[in-house]
Amino acid sequence: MTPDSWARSDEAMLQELMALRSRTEAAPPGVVAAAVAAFRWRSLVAAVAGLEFDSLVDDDDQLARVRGPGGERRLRFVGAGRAIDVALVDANRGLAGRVDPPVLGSMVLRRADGTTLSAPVDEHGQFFFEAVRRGPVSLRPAPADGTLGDFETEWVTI
Amino acid sequence: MDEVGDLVLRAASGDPDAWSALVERFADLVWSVARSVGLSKPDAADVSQTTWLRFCEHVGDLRDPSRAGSWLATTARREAVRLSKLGARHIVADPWSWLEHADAGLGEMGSDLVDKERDMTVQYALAVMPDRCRALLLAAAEDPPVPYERIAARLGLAVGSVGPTRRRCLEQLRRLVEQLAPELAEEASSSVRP
Repeated sequence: MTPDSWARSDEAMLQELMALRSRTEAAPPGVVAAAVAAFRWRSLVAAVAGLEFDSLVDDDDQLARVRGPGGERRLRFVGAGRAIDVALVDANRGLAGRVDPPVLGSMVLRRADGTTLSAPVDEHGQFFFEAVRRGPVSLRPAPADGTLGDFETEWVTI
Repeated sequence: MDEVGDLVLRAASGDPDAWSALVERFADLVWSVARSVGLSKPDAADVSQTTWLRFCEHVGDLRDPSRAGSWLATTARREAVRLSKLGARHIVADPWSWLEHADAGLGEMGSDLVDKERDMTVQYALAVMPDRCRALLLAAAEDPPVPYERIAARLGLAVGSVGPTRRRCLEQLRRLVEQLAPELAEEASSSVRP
């Protein structure tokens, strides 16, 4: 499809649009429904801690990107005066993390389908989740005093 | 403010219909971007979901709401590249690299990649067009084509104005594609002259 052939006639252009539509794949209905449902998270959005580092793409060392069994992926989120560092271990899909400065209470791991997991945060700001399924996740501190966390991390696919 | 920008502002203020309209416009584009990087359908579904969740986080703070489609495509591409590394797969071709390196020439790209890139540029242009044009062109490009009478009824137009409107919309699409990918237009005119 080129602007040249398009310039020839409207009919040629429509023919090519038709061809384009037949060779491109539409998003499956379930994917579209999930995208519509993503809006449910809007009301919960606080300050967002952006993904600042992901060893998958940000490691300078090419070799470090090729992970063998038991290799780990490291992520860092920064925002609202805090940093959350996370390590994902391949072997058991465990997610170990640390929030700095520490938030006393728990860490909530949110999944796109609306389900959440919760893990206690110790005095060093450390927390751990076992066997986290693949898919998009976001972390949100839930302070012990019951207030909602003042920030959450960007969604990332793990 | 164009239609996309308006939808973004409405979604940011909590309008679920505006959000759904944005999904309707861009879901196929986000999906295509993820698939074009070589991801399987389950992985592309994760990328799509992450992209829309991120968009939901940022819908209120986009620098240029009318460029939401570009934001979505760029985010989907980055996330797809990330996930393809997670699966230890190699990316053979990344037709969306131009989003980050708009100045890069096409000299080193294979023709398959150029085709894919062109397809997605057109898909992107269609997604950001005014609703009326988008609906009209999608109907006109159905296979077999929808008759003028039905298009007129669907869009609430007089039958006599479908032709002229179609012409205007095609012209607008041409301009958009040229504006979106000047390097593609240049490549095409230098190598595919009739």
